[in-house]
Amino acid sequence: MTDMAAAAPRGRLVPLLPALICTAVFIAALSSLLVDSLVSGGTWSLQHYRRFVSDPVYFAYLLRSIRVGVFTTIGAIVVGYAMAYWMAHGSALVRRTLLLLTIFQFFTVTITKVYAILLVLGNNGLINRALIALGLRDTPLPLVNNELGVVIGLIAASLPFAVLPIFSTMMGMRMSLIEAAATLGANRMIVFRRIILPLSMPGVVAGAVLVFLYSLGGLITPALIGGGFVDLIASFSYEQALLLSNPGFAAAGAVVTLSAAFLMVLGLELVHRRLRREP
Amino acid sequence: MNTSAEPSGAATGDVRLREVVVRYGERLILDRVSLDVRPGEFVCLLGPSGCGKTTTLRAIAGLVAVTSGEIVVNGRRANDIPPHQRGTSMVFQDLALFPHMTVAENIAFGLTLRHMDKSAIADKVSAMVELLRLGGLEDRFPKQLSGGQQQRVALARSLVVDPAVILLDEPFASLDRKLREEMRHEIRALQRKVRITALFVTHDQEEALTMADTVVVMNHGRLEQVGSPTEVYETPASRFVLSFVGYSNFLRAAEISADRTSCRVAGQPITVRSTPLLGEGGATALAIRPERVRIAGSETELSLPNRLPATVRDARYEGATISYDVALADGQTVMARVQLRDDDRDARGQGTERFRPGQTVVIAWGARDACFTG
Repeated sequence: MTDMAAAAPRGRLVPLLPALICTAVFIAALSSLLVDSLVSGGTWSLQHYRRFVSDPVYFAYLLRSIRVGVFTTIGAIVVGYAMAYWMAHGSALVRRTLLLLTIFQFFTVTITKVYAILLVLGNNGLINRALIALGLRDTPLPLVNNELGVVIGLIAASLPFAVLPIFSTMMGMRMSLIEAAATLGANRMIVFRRIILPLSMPGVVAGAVLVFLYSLGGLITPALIGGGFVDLIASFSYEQALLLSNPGFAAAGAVVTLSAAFLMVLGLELVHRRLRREP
Repeated sequence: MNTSAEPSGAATGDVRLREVVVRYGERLILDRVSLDVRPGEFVCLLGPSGCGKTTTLRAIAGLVAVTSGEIVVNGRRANDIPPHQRGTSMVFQDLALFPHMTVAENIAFGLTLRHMDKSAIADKVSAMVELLRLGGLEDRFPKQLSGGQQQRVALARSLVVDPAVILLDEPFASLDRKLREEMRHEIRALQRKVRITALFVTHDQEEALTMADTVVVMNHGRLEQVGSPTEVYETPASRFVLSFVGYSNFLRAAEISADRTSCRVAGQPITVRSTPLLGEGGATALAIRPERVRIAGSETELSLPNRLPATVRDARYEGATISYDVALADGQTVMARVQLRDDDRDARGQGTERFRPGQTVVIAWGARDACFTG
C-alpha cells in the first residue's frame, strides 16, 4: 500500500530527469563562474570586477557588445517582422517558401554562413562590385571590418529567432479580428497599427530577447566580419580564459555582461507589460 | 490623410444581390444568387453548413470577392467598395472582440475612425452600454466577460457606428440553449427599435422561423426558397426545403392519380388536395409533417378522410408533446406528434402516453396536410 503510494510520484518524476540533469549542470557551471570571478590571489576579492569596470579598454568590450546587440535586435526585429507578416498574410506558397528558407539557416554551420556573408559584404564582395560596376562608387563601401558589418552579419544569423516567434503570434491571431476591424471602418494601415501590431507584441518581445542574447554571445561572426576591430565580450572572455590563463577575470566580465543583459531583458518585459494592460 | 469610414451618400438600408456568383478556384460557392432586402427587414439565411449562407453575408460585407453579378448596398453598387467603406457592420461567429481592448474601447473602435470628438464618442458609447445593459463592465477585458456579455459587446460595437445594414453570422453559436432564446428576442427587439436592416445567418430552423420577417433557405450555393416563416414551413417550394425546415414523414405511395389528388398508402385509399409536385421526376412519395398526423384508439374518434390502421412501436415524452412512431400495415413507419392534454396526465400530474408500444391505433390526416414529392 505505502510502497505504491510512494512509487506513483517517483514514477512521475522520471520524464523530468533529463531536464533536472541539464539544470543541475547549468547551475553548477554558473556557480563556479561566479566563484571564479570572486577569487583573486587565492582569497575572496572584488579585484577582477574593479579591474573590468575601471579599465576603459576592458569596459569597452561590454559597451560595444550592448551597442551591437541593441542595433542587431532592432534590425532583426524590423526585417523579421516584415518577413513574418508576409509569411502570415501571404499565400500558402509564400508561407512555405519563406518558412523553409528561415529554417534552412539552421542547417548551415556558422563559419559557412559568415563566409557567405563576407562574399556579399566584403570589399571585393557582391555589393561593392555591383556598386563599382554601376559607377555609383569609386572605392568599395566599408561594409566589413567595422560595427556595421558585424551588425549586418548578426542580423542575418539571428533572423530566424526574430521571425519564428513573431510568425507564430501572427498565425495565432484570428482572421475575424482583422475582418471585424475592416467592417467597422478601418483601412489596412489602421488595422495594422491598432490590431495586428499590438497583438503581435508578445512575439516581438520574445524575438527581441532571443536575438539580443544571441548577438551578445557572438564570437565567430564579430571576429571574422569585424576583422578583429569589433571584438565583443565573448572574444574578451575567450582571450582571458583560454589564451591568457586568466579565468577569474574572464568570469568577472561574463558575470557583468550577464547581469547587464538580465537587466535589459527585465526592462523590456516591464515596458511590454505596461503597454499591454491585459489582465 | 485618413481614407477610412463614413460611407458617402444616404444610408438607405437596402441590399440587393443580382445573379451573384462566387467561385474559389474550381469550386462554385454561390450560384447566381439574387435577393432583395427591404430597408428595416430582418432576413434569416438558413441552410446546412457549406450551403453558401456565410459566403453570401461575407460578399455583402465585402470580405469575399464576387466572381460575377452585382451587389448593391444602400443604393450604391458595392462590388468594388472595400469593406471599410461599405456601411455594413458584421457580428462574427467567434464575435471577434479585440482582446487587447476594454469593453468601452471595443465599442468605441468604429467611432474613433470617424473623426468624432472625444465627448461625442463617450456619449454614444455610454448610450450603447445602456441599451445593451453593459453598465459597470466598461473597463473589463473581453475574456473577463460571460458568453452573453461578450455577445452584447459585439452587438454594441457593430450598432454604435449606426450602420444601415447589420450582418450577423451565427452569433449565438457558442451560447447555451436558454441564452440563445433570450438573445433571439433581444436582438429582434433591438433591431425593431433602431430600425436597421438585418441579415442573420443560421443553420437552426427554429431560430430562423422565430426571428425572421423573411426566411431565405439555401442549399448548394443556391436559393431554394425566399418567403415568410409561414410560407417556408407550410408551403415549401422544394423537397429540400420540406426536409430541411422541420421534420417530415415521407410515405411510399402507389397508384398516384395523374392529377395528383389520390393514391394508395399501405393499401388504403388516400385523397390529397392537389399541390405542385416537389422534386424532380414523377411523384413517388407523400410527405406529411408529424404534427399533422392525428392518432386515436379507434376509427370512430377520427373524422378525417385519410385513415390508416397502425401499430404503436415507440412513444417519446417530450414535455409539451409526445411523439409516437407507428408502423403501417406494410411495415413503413410514420411519426405522429401530439400535444399533451390535461387528461393525458395521471393523478400525480405526470404526463403519460395514451398509447403504448404494441397497441393497435388509427392514424389520420386531412387532404390538405400532405403533398406529393419526387
